[in-house]
Amino acid sequence: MNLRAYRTAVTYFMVAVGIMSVALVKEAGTPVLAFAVSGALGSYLLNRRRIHVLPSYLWNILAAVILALFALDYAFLSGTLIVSAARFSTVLLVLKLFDLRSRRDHLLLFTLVFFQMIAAAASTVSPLFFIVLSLFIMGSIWAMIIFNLERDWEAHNPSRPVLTRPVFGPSFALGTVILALASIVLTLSLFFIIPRLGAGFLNNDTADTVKVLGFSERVDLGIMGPVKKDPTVVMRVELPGRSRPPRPIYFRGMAYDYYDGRSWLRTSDTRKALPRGPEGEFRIRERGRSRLEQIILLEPLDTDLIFAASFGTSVAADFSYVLTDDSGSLYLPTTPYSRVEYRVYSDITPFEPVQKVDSRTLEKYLVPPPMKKNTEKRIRRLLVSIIKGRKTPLSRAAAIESYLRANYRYTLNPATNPSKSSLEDFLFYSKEGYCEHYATAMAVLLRMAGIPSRLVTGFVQGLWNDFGNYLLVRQQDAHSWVEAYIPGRGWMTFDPTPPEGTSPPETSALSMYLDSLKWRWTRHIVHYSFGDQKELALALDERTRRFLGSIKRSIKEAGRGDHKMADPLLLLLAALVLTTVLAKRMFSGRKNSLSKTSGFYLEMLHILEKRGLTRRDSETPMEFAGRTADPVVKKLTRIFQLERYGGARLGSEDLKRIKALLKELKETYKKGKGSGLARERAK
Amino acid sequence: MSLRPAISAPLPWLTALAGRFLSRPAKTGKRRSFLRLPRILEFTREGKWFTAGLFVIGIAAVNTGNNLLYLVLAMLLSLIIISGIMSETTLRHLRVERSLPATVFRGVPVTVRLTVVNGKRRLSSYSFTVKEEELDGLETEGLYLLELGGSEKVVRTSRYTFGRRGEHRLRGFYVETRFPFGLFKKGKEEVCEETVLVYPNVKASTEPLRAAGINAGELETNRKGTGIQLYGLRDYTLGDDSRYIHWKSTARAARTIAKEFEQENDRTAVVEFENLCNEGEEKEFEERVDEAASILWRLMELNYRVGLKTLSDTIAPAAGRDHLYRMLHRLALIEPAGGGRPVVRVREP
Repeated sequence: MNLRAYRTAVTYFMVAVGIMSVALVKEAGTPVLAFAVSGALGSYLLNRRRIHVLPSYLWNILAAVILALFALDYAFLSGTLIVSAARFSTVLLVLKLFDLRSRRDHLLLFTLVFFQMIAAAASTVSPLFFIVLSLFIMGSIWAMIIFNLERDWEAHNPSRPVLTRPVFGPSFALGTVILALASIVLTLSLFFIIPRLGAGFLNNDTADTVKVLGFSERVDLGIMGPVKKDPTVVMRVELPGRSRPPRPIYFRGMAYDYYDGRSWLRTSDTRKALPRGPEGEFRIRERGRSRLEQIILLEPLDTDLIFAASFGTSVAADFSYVLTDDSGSLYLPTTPYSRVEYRVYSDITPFEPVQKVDSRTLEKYLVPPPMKKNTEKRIRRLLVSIIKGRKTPLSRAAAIESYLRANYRYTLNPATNPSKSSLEDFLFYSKEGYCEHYATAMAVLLRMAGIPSRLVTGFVQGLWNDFGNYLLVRQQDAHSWVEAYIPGRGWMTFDPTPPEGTSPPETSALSMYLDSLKWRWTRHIVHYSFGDQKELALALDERTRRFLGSIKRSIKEAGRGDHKMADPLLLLLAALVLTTVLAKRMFSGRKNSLSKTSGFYLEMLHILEKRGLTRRDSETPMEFAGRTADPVVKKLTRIFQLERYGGARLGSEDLKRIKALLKELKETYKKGKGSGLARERAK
Repeated sequence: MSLRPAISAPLPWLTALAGRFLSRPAKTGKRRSFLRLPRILEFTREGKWFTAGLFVIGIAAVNTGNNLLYLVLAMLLSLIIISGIMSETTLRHLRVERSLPATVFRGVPVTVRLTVVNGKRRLSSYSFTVKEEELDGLETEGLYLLELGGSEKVVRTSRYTFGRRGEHRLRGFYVETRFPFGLFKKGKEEVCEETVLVYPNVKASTEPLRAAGINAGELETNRKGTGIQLYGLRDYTLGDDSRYIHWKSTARAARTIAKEFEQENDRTAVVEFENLCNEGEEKEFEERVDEAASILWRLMELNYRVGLKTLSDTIAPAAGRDHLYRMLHRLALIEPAGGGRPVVRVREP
C-alpha cells in the first residue's frame, strides 16, 4: 500500500467517524446525514481520480455562506447551538472533501471531525459514543502518524518529496491498533482520575422521554393492556450487596383513591416536602427491619414521579427536595426530562410500618364506585360468599385475594362487553383480564367489605440481569395492585393478579448482555460523579491496605514456617514482577544476558563512564586502559584479561584485591583528582 | 468529608513510582548536570493548537459536568501521554558515533561518517534527526532517518565545515524527533566526545610563495630537471629518455648504457612567522597563519626540506609528511606572542 492510498483510507475513515458522530446528534436530522454520506461517496470517486471540482478560492466563499446559513439555522430553525454546529461542520466537511489538495486541507478535515465528536459528546448519552470515540482515537493516531512522517520526510528530503519507502506495512498497522487500544485504556483510567469539580448532577440528556402510562392524575381502566407488551426500558435498579431478589419487588409509583366506574382518580393532590435526616437523606418514615438498598437509574420519563420498592423509608440523592403526598407517592420538584439516579432504602415487608392514620383520612378509601342497584346487589352476594366465615379484616382481604387469583383467567386481550361496566363484565361475564381488572375488583370488594383500600400503580420486579447484577424494569413490567388498611397493622400490599401476570417473559442472553453494557455505561460513565470518585478512592485505599496487610501477614507466616496457600494477590504480584523482568530482558537490547564479561570489569567501566570515559567499540581493553593512563585501571584490566581469556580462576585473594582496587578507583574519581580524563586532556 | 483516603490510597504506588525514577542509575558517560533535563521538549504549532483545544474542552467539561466531555478530555490527555511514550521509545538507546578524516583543514568541508545504532532489541526508531551539537565556527549537515529497526545500524555521511583552526571539542549529538504525532519536538543529547585538531586553511596555489619572494616557476623547472650532477651509469631500459644515453659508454660496452643523475632534494627553506597581532586585527593574523601553512605545504610539494620558525619556538628543517603535519599542528595551535603586525617570510639559507 503506498502512501497516497493510505492517506485516502485514513481520510475516509475519519470522515466516517465524523458522520457517525453527527448521527449521534439526534436533532441534526436525516437529510444532513444523507447529504454527508452521498457527498462522501461522490467525493471518493473524484478523489480517486484526483479530480478537484472545487477551486480553492471558492471553498472559502462557500464556507462564509454556510456560516451565515448556520447562523440563520441557529436563530430560526434548531435553536440549539450544538445541533447547528453539527450541521454546519457536516456541510463544511463534505465541501472540503471536494477540495483535498494539501496537508492543510486534511488537517482542517480532521479538525472538523473532532468538532463533530465534541458535538456528539455534548448532546448524546448513548453508549455508541464510546465506539465512535474509540474509532476516533484509532483514526486520529493513524492519521497523525502518517501525516507527521510524511511532513518530516518532505522537510528533510526536498528533492524526493514523495515518501515511497514502505514503512506502512502490516506491522505498522498492527502497531497503530495496539497503540489505539493502549490509548483507549489510558483514556478510561484518566477519565476516572480527572477530578470532578461540579456536583455531577448537571447533564444535558436530550434523549427522548419515555411516555409512561398509569401515573397521571387519572387512570382509565384498560390502558395498561397495550403497555404490557412494550419492552422500552423504564429504569434499572441495582441492589447493592444483594443478588437476585428472592421474591418480586413492587416498585410503588402512584396510589388512587376514587373509582368512578371507568377510571381511577386522585381526589386530592397536596404535596409536602420530606424532612431531611442527619445525613442529608430524605426521610419518608421510620425504618423497619428488612432493609433493602436500591440504586435506581430512571430513564427520562414524562413524569415527576419517582419509584421506590414498597415501602420506601428514605431517599438519598442530589435533589434539592423530594415531595410526598398523603398516599405516600414520591415526587421530584420538577419533571427532569433526563436520566435521574437516586438511592432508596425500603422496608420490603408487605406492611407499611405503622403510622398514625386518623379515621377521617381513611374515609375516602371506603367510598364504593357508583353502580346500578342490581349490580351492587350481585357483587355484594359474591362478596358474602367469598368472605363467609372470615372475621378479621386481614383474613377477609386474604380471602378476596386468593379468590380472584384462583377463579379468573389472566389475559392481555380480555373479551369486552360494551353494554356492561368493565367491573361487572370482569367479575361475572368474561371472567378474564389483567392486573388492572384484578386490582380494581379487589379494591371495590374490599371497600364493600368495609376495609379501606386503594389502587396502586408501579412496576413489579422486572428482569434480573446476571451480567450486570441489576433489575431491568421495562414498560411491560408496569403493574397495578391493591393496598388495604388493616387496623392495627397499617397499609398492606395485596396482589390479586395470578403469577403469570407478573412473571416476566425470558429474553435472550445477548440482549441481556447488551443491556448490561448500556447500564454500565450510563451508571459508570455518564453518571460518574465526585461521589463515585470518592467511593473509588475509598475502595482503592481499602484494597491497598488489605493488600499490604496480606503481605505483612504472609511474611510473618513464612517466618513461622507456616506453609499455607499463598495469597492470590501476592501470587499476582510475583507474576507481575516476573513478567516485568522478562519483558525487560526481551526489550532491552543493550544488556546481553549471555555476557561473559566479569562483573568487576563492568563495574570499573561504569565508574569510568560516570567520569566521561567510555570504552570505544574499536578499543581493546588494554588500549582503553592505556588511554586512561591510570595504573589502577591497568591492573584491573590485566586481572580481567587473565580471567576472561587466560582461563585463570580467581581465588579469594584475587577478589579481595579487586575489591580494594575498585574502591581505590572510586575514591580517586570521587575526589576528582588524578582523573584519567583530566590527564587525557592534558596530554 | 475526609480527604485522607483519597490522599493515602495512591501513596504506596506513587512512592514505588518515585523510587523507580530516582534510583535509576546514570547511563553511559553522560556528565549531565543536575539542572539539565534529560529530554528537551518543545511545542510545535500543531501541539500548541492541540493544547489550547485541550484547555477549552477541559473548561467546558468542568462547566457542564458532562462526563462525555470529560471522556474527550481524557482522550486528549491520553494522546499526549502516548505521544510521550512513543517519542521516548524512539529516542531511547539510540547511539551515534562519528568518524572524522585524519586531517581537517579550516574552511574545507570534510565528509564525516556517522554511525547511528539502535540499541533496542526489537523496537524501531522512527523519523528522527541527528545533528552535531552546536559549536562555535562549526557548520554541519543534519541527518534524517525515517526508520531504524531494532538492533540495526546505519552509516551515513555528513559534511562538516570548521570555520576556525585549532582544537575543537565535539561534545556529541542532538537527536530530535517529532514522532509520533508531531505535537511536540523531543530531543536528547547523545554524548560522543571527541577532540579534533583543525589545521589552518592551506591554499594550493603559488600565490603565497610569490608573495614571499620565491619564484615558483623556477623551482618547478629545477625539479623537472632532477639535478645536474652525474650519479652513475646503468643499462638502458625501455622507457628511458633517449637523451640520457651515454654514447661513449654504449660504444665501449656494445650495449645501450644510460646516465643517471642525483636527486636534487637538498634544498632547504625556513618559513619564518612573526606571530604578532594587534588588537582587533585577528583576521589578519589568521590570514597570515593560513599563508604560512600554505607556504609550508607548497614547499614540501617542491621537495624542500622545510623548517618553521616562530617567535615562540623553532622546528628545524626536515623532509617528510610527518614533519609537515608537525609544523601544521604548531600553526593550528599558534597564538599571538605579542602586539604588532604578523609577518611571514621564507628564507633559504
